[in-house]
Amino acid sequence: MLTYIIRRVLWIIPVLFFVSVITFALMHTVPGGPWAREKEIPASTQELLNDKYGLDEPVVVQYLNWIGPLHFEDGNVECCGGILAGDLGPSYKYIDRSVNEIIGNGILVTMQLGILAFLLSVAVGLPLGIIAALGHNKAPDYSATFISVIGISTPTFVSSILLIVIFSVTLGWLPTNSLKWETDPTTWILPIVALSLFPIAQIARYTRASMLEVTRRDYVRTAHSKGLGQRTVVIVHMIRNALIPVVTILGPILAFLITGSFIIEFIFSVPGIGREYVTSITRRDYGMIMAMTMFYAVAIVIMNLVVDVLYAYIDPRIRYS
Amino acid sequence: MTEQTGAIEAGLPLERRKSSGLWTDAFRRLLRNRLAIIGGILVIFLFFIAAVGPLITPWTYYEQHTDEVIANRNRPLAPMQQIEGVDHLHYLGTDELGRDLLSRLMDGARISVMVALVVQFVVLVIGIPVGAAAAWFGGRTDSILMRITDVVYAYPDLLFIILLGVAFKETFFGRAMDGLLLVFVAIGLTSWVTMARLVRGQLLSLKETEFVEAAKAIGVSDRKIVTRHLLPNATGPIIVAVTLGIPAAILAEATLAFIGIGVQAPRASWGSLVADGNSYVRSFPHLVIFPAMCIAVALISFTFLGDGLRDALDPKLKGKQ
Repeated sequence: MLTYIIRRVLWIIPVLFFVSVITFALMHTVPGGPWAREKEIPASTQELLNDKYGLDEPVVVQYLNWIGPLHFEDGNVECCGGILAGDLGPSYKYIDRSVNEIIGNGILVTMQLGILAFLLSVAVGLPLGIIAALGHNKAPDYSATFISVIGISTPTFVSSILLIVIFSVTLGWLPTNSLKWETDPTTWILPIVALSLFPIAQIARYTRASMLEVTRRDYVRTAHSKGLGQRTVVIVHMIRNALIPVVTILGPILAFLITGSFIIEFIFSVPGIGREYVTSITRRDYGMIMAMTMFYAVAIVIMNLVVDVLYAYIDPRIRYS
Repeated sequence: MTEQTGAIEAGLPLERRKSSGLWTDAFRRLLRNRLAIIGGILVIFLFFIAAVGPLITPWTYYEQHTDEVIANRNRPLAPMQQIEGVDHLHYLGTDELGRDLLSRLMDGARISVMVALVVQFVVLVIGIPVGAAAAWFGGRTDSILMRITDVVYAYPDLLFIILLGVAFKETFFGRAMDGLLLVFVAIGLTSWVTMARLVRGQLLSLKETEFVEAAKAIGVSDRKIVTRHLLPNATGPIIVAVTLGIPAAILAEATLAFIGIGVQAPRASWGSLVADGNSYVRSFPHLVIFPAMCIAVALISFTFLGDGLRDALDPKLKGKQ
């Protein structure tokens, strides 16, 4: 088990390395650079800017500089810079602000949004699936299935717009945007709900299917026949076993909540990093693109790792070779 | 058995027992699943509209009825709204430029069907060979291929598509099919991993079966074993994965179109129609509601059909119900 975890953790390094290389290469094959503005910047100024930010170096050198910790410039070697020294580089959109500064706050907001939505999804999705399975082919099943079908088939951007129209525009209960995220928790409600609908539906579907699968198992029949109450059978025997496959989708869901929230941040103007992502790509803001792609990749890789380890821990029948 | 012996004794020609193969059985089970049937009919309808849409649509998606909008005091026409002195009706109204919404939705259906086909084509073309090679050759090939899938899996999907979309926007590839081809291929490039893993898993278990051993013993070539014996036996799960991958691809395209990546004006996919209508959502909700409903219905139909196919093809359920 321990060797398995260590191997998996070590494997993260090459994965992230390749992700960064792909992103870096893609970014630099794109024609145009970060200085393309509506008002043309004179060529001489662009040259100076390129020199200042090291964009006149060969791409490979630029990549090495981004990684760090050594910094090559105009034939000299300096210490220390790059991500290995904790420096994500400058932003080319907001001159004189570092990427660290810009995404520092944004990451917290994005994670806060993602984690709260995750808690809501689990808190609603699990009971919904369990209720559906226990009332199989009866009213509770049909209503729970109906809710999860709606949740799965409504794109996030559609449900966000509908929520805004209903709760902000028509009823006037909640604010239409979340610009005041830090100070006003009522601005959290709509983005979190909008973000949770899809995962709620997915968790409910998986839980229901898994519970139904477990119902047919011998040990459940045994538990029933030895006279245990329905409550005990459900809680002790069914739910515990039914949750094992559900755990496997929680990782992808948490990753979806953190990386997929950019559309929510875009619609509700949540001051997270997702909102910046699309603009940073169109603006060729190299530093920001790299930093955010890496953040998302790290989130996904760690989520998958945690799930795999958790899976082995919950279900001792699983052994990793 | 007794019938057959009886037939032989009576000297009658041996009548073969009506074979009930996997596919006949599965099809029968599918027909009994009402939701899957509804989904299937809607999917066929969607494909039908996509195929013959341009022949039956009253107008093209870009034709503007400016005079009608002016007569309506520069406002989009509501559904079924009759303008005095005009002898035709726009059943679902028009947008602010006087373009018929129904015609635009029908063209959107074409785009969604193209997403479904092109993305799944890319997924199959990459996913099956990678998965099959990994499973069949094992060892070094397996670990290299699986590590590649790990990297693709860790790469944040939508962000990769956006990056590609922006990178190649101005190239020939980016302009092909109104900007759609690029998005389709990009979605395919991020989605084949699941297929590769599925095929690998299926083939690994099939590889150990007796019929493969028998084929090997009589000297069938590697390529023939994989293509004639292994892949046909994995068709069921592959079909299910394709059917369930379609709504995911449609959703991804709609989401990208919503943030303005992919389809280029005047062409509009359902996602960009929602985005356009969003500015008028208070006074003309129909501009958002109709395209949103199209997306939702398409996603529900494919999900129902995919779920039905999975239940029908899952041999574990055979005999039950």
